[in-house]
Amino acid sequence: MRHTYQVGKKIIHEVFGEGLVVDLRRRPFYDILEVAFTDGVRKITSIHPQIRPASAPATTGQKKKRKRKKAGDADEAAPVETEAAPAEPTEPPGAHDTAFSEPDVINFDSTSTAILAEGPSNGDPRDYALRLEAERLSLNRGFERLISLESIRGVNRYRYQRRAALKVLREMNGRALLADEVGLGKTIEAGIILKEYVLRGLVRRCLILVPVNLIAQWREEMYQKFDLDFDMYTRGTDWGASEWLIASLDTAKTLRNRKAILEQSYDMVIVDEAHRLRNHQTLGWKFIDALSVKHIMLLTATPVQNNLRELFNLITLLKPGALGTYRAFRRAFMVRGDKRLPKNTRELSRLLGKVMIRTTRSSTSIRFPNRYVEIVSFTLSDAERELYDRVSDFIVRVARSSSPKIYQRWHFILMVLQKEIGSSSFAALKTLKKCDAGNWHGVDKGELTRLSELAASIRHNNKFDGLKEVLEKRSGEKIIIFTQFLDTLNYIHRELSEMGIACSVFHGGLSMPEKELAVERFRRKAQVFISSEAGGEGRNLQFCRNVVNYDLPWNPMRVEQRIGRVHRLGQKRDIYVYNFTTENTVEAYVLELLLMKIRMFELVIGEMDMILGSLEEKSPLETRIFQIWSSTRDRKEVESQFEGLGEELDTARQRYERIKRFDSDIFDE
Amino acid sequence: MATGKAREGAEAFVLDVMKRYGAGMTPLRKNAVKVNFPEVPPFADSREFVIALERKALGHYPEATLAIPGSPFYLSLMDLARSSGTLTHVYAPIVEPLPNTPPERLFVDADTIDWEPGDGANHPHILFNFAISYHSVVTSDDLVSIGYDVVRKAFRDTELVGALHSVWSETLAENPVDWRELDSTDLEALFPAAMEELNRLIRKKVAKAVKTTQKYLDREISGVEEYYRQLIAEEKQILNRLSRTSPDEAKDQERKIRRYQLDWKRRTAEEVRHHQCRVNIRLVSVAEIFMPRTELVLTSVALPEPQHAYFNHFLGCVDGVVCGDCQGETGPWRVSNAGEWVCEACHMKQNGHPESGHSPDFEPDEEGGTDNEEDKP
Repeated sequence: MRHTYQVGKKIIHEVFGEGLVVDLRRRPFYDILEVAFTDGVRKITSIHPQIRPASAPATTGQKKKRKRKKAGDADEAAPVETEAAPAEPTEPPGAHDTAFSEPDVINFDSTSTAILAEGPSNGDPRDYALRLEAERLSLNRGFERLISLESIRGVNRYRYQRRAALKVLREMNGRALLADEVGLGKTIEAGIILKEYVLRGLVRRCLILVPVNLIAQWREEMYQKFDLDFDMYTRGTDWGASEWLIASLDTAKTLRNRKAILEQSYDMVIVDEAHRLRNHQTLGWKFIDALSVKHIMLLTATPVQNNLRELFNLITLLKPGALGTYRAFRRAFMVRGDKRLPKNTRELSRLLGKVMIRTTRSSTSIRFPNRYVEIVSFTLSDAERELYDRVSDFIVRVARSSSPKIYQRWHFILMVLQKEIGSSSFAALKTLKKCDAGNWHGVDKGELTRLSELAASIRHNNKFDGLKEVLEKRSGEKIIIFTQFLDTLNYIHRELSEMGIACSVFHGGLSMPEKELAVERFRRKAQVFISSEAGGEGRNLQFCRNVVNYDLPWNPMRVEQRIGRVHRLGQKRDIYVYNFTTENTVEAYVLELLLMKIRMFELVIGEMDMILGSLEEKSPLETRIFQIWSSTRDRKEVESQFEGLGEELDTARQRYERIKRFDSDIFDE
Repeated sequence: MATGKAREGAEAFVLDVMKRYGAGMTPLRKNAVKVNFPEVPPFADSREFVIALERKALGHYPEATLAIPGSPFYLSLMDLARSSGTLTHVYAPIVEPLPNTPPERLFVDADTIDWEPGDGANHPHILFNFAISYHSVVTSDDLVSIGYDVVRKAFRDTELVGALHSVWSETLAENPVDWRELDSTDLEALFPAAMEELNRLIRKKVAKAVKTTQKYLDREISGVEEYYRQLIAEEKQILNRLSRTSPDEAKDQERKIRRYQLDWKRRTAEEVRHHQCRVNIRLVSVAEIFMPRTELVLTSVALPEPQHAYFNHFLGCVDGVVCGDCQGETGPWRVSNAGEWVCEACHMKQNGHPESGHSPDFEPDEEGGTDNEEDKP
């Protein structure tokens, strides 16, 4: 029998299995087909006896094969996989072949008939009614409404987020570029969408790929806000071992991991900071392109950074062809000679609307309150200054004199010590004592003892007087005081309690209910909330607008997270941030970098990520700060190195500003 | 936001589970309930705690356990409920023969109708409950119940299946103490017929789901096809040019085209795998319900001999009787002198108002055996 073939249609080859006709050349008596099979593309004549269109009836041998599949394989139409692993239906005890109207479509869960064979039993009949009710409540009723919102914690729900979630669920089939402006909650939108799928049983495995510095933050947010318990990928973890996994994109795309991941089957993949996939020639882009995943969400506030091809590349990952081929896209939407300038913007917007969500602050009624920052200068007492300088000297000496191996060993503890001495003498005391008691080769133990004694002799920190000033200034208002160290936290708590100020204390050592109670106590009674770094992550503290950085983390993201506890969606009042500074300390340099170079107090939530993103890929900022500080005690040299770092930050910020403007020009008419 | 009805359903479920494990419940303000159990239930680690039935309640009871859809506690209750409750086909209520009460859903044109107490044999029905999952955003999942009348050896219509559910939830599940074990029907032998009945019930919806999904899939595949055709055509143009000028680069270009061709196949296969219609059917539970019945003896001058029928007190209908006009089973019934059974609705259509007989005070249960919902895009 002679068949007619068409490009784009499937054929069956008795040996090679199912293939797709990708090209066809007409000849007088037959056609030459180019057919893509799983293992490659082959040329076959249309009169080849071993081929037939997939829709045509099979020969005897093929019929047999097909019949076997029909009996139970719901994925029969899936071309490659079915051929590779023909599923023999397993007849359950008591199950019978029933002629369903759509046998290729219907899959009967044969294991569920096990109950038929169960004999008389003592099951409680009330369980029957409960089971039916539970089954009824679990039914997937489509996406008429969002069912996850009630169960989400600590999130202000905005209409634009609900609208975005519904659009992605209903119209985009869970494949979308979430490109809201910074600070509008892309993570929340992604979380809502994921949770909606999870609650409907449509997503059972999910992989989240993020920059390495955001892994813990994503895990925390998914858990705290959405009750989704993700595992964090660590080196050596089996990629198939966890159904809910967060990993760094950079780790995942490596050749070894990439292969293992491509063997997995995820229902959803979320990629944060997806502008890293803007180049189609990079490993990252190729890796995401090769994933076989039903739902995928790409999150970025700046889909275009240099030219419009980047936008095309991102959209192609979601839906190849949504913007045509690149050549067609270029012809239709790019101004000749300028890769950055779009044309035919109305049509481009229409096409993007099918795969992209972009909300701008101006399109919402959301007003981001202003951040006002105040610097509280104080002078260290003589003893405090002596302790600070001698600890710094000690660190520089150890850092310069130790062999790289020894330095590597003590690097972390030295950095902590330097941070502690910037926080309070009480915080440094414990570490100094530990070091004094520890086994330090090549270190002046006598100096450690003297430093411990000096620290122990200090009973009062002058910085606390600065805190009292702030409290007086904001009297009657609630205040959050952040510190990185528990000993500093205890010191502040002790002093404030003696002054009769009601405090609520929050730190990582508290259990979950204790944390909830601490927040509740602050909300209802206490004027001051003293918090360690775990300061109410994911908890709603917008009822307060004053933040005191009693000590200053060297990592700007940490400072940003602190401020973010009150400066977030839902905050209606302007906020005040108080920072302490005293000359010739690391903290003074860090504060200058934040104020003058990053201008972090002019930013809105989320922008810090964008600025630091690429800069921190090489080396974390706090490591660089410590490297500078521990390299020399020469003040001019330190200043010059901090100046260099500041220039880098300035450039990063300017670059971000430029990209922001560029994206705004393209998307926000 | 959860609609009121959905929220009520979820709340009722949570409270039912608490009740099932013998909880004493004290309502607190802001939709929270204090529960205490005789012993630690499997879903908690203490005998006494507070559950919050809405998030706001946590403001007043921060220590409360949140029990709303999606919360871990709620999900654990769901898991618990779904891991049991399949074993109900071996029990039956002991029902004493009812006093000689007149059937309430019977209008009689016949000269006389007598009734006798139940014949001592209960009337068994079997319910097969199936969960039908469409894995789709356009077709809602269903819980479909198939009701089998063991005496008549026939499946009953969905309205009666709904009534059977009501019997269960209102009567039997509330009084689980008077149960005794009976010989079970051969469910395995009956199951293929139940599957056929299920097929009959869901056929239309499945066909519609297949059609809708196929339409979507066709559109997606055609998008992929268009993209790759255009892409490959563009690359072939380049290949033609290179073939004349640079054979080495032409080879690379050929490889590139091959890669696109394979990508095309892969994407097409993925689209099919992700979007083809899949309907999963799972047998959720089986219940065997035994109900007492009263024998009716109908005598009329028009009848050569007395006619026998059975009135089912639980369902409020006459067993084994089908309306001569509409083929319905639910009644209420009118029986003519000639011994013909017509449901009252059909009789009224034909004759206007009912002339005599008992006034029906029974409304058919609206909750059908199937849980169909209109497909919404």
